[in-house]
Amino acid sequence: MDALLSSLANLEFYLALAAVLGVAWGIVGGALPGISPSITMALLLPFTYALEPSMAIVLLASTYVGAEYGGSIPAILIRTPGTNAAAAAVIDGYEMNRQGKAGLALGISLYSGVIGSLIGLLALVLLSEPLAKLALAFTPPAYFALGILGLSVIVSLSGESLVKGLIAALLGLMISTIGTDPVSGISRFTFGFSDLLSGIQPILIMVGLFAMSELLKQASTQDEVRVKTAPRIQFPDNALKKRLILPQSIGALFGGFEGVMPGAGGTIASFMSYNEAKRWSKSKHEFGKGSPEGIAAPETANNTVAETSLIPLLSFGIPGSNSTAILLGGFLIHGLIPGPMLFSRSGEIVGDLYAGLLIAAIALLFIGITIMPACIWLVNRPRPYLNAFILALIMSGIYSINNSLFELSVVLVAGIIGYFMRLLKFPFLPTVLGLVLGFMIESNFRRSLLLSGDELSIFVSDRISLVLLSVAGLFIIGSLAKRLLQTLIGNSEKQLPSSAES
Amino acid sequence: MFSRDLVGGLVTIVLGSLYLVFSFRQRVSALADSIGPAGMPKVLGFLMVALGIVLCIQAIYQYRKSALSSPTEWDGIGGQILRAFGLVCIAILYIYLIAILGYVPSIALLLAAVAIYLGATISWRLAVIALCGSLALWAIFVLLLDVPMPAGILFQN
Repeated sequence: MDALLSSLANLEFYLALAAVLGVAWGIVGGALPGISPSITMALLLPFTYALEPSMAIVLLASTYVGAEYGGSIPAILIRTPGTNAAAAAVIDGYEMNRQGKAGLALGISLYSGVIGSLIGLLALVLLSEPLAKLALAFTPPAYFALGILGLSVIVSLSGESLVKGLIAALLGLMISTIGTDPVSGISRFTFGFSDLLSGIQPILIMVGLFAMSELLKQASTQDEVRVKTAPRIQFPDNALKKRLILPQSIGALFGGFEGVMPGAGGTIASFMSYNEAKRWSKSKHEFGKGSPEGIAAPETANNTVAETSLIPLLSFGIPGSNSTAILLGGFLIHGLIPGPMLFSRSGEIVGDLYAGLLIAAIALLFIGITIMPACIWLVNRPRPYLNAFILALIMSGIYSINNSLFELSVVLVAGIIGYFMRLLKFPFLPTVLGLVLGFMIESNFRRSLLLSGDELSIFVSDRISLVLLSVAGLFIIGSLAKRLLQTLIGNSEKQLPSSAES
Repeated sequence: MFSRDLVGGLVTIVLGSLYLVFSFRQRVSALADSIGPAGMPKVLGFLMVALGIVLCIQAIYQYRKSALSSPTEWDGIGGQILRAFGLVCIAILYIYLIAILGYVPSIALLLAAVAIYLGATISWRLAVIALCGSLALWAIFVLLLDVPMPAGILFQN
């Protein structure tokens, strides 16, 4: 809290500007169907090279906040969620739109998004530093265990198929081995390309997997018919605000919890909060038919997650979602390593981030109102022009990182890999996690063995390592048990109709 | 029979095997630790092949159990891949052209080519959008962010 107050007292204009611009860009990106918060952030990442570290981090984090809100705009207007987390807002948002209440639906979404952001920020400020102090005693075995803990969430991120999730993670780990060996300094898998000696930057793979593959997917499928609308935003009155307190509290609770858990994310939080808001509502029958509560709960949840998902990133350096993985890229670009040392070495950056996020939450309200006409205009642009500009932006942005044409080819290859991963229904996030955590896991595992004289017991004798490995084990077992239970329930439900027929 | 999972499994096996071959060919330094630069890649390669086999077995089991691989699963997929490949070709052409023509003409051509490829009609409007778009991107990257975009061989002097 002190860091936030100190940064607010000495707030510089450029930070406030970064927060406002980030939110504005995030809303625009989030409102574009198919452009997720992570893609929106990835497109912006090359621009941050030339910026001050604080400004770059605030810009990216504010983009995330804006994009989480922006996703609900096409969800309400054209029944197309701009982000995964906005999918729950489609149910009642679009119904309200059909009833001629699109303005009110957008107003509830914005109002709940701002509340979610503020609650999430409070949780972030109060929980990040204590966790980081605990992590100051980290040794190579502990960092290895932390990497394994990060990878353990793959079980819950794998979607329908655990095997596919694990394969995707292995792909990321394989890409992380390209370049110079962290211990002996010998080159690996470079095939004579000097550009590969320093390895492949995660951002190139992320832009390829998310943005490029989305463009390829859209190029390969027919354009769908889109409805054009031009509503005005309308905020809830006092009576409705009172009615929304309970679903917003439920949304904040789930958003807070799911955000802290690496890998849980806004989508799960928004659907779970929608479900619970319906369970506790006095007007259950309205859900699915245009209930304001049905918008308030998921929108509060996914905006809370936008803030609380930064807790594992700041405290442990673990990106719990695609977007925080991009934010991690932003930190690394500027030589900042999120985790325990961030608070002691670069405390002012953390304070600036908190202050920036507070401004972003407030700016969300004002920009949400003023940017609405532009968002609707962009969403309704012909797809050929929209996608042409996105590709031009990717090509220009990636070249600007290292002035390298070779890196454009890497993005293109990653895009092709991403396209086929989509085609074969492999998830992306495990690949990103493997890529980001691969170097950390390998280098610290080998360093630990060098320290212990090849004794594996070092991972058990180190207390933090033991605790983290145990938590990872519990997480894997819990997720596997949950999967098994869901499979069994699914099988029994399939058998029920057939037994009833017989 | 050839469901997405089976194809995915086969691709995984091929990828894992290739990675393993290169892992075994990896040079080892005299300064290397007990695990060495090839240690982790070998483990990853073996795991990749093993998981590929598991995915194939799952796919075959699913096919025999409930014939989930419906004939419609791959309908029109060849055309879809070709259309996506067309966009890849435009991007490759851009990477080749930018070194010759320089940034502004190449990015204008990229904007126009992609828009036309995705269904925009050839018109003065398209030309104006491509030109203005390329100048706007040049202003952002070169003027604002001071990125030295390629001048091109033709316009270097």
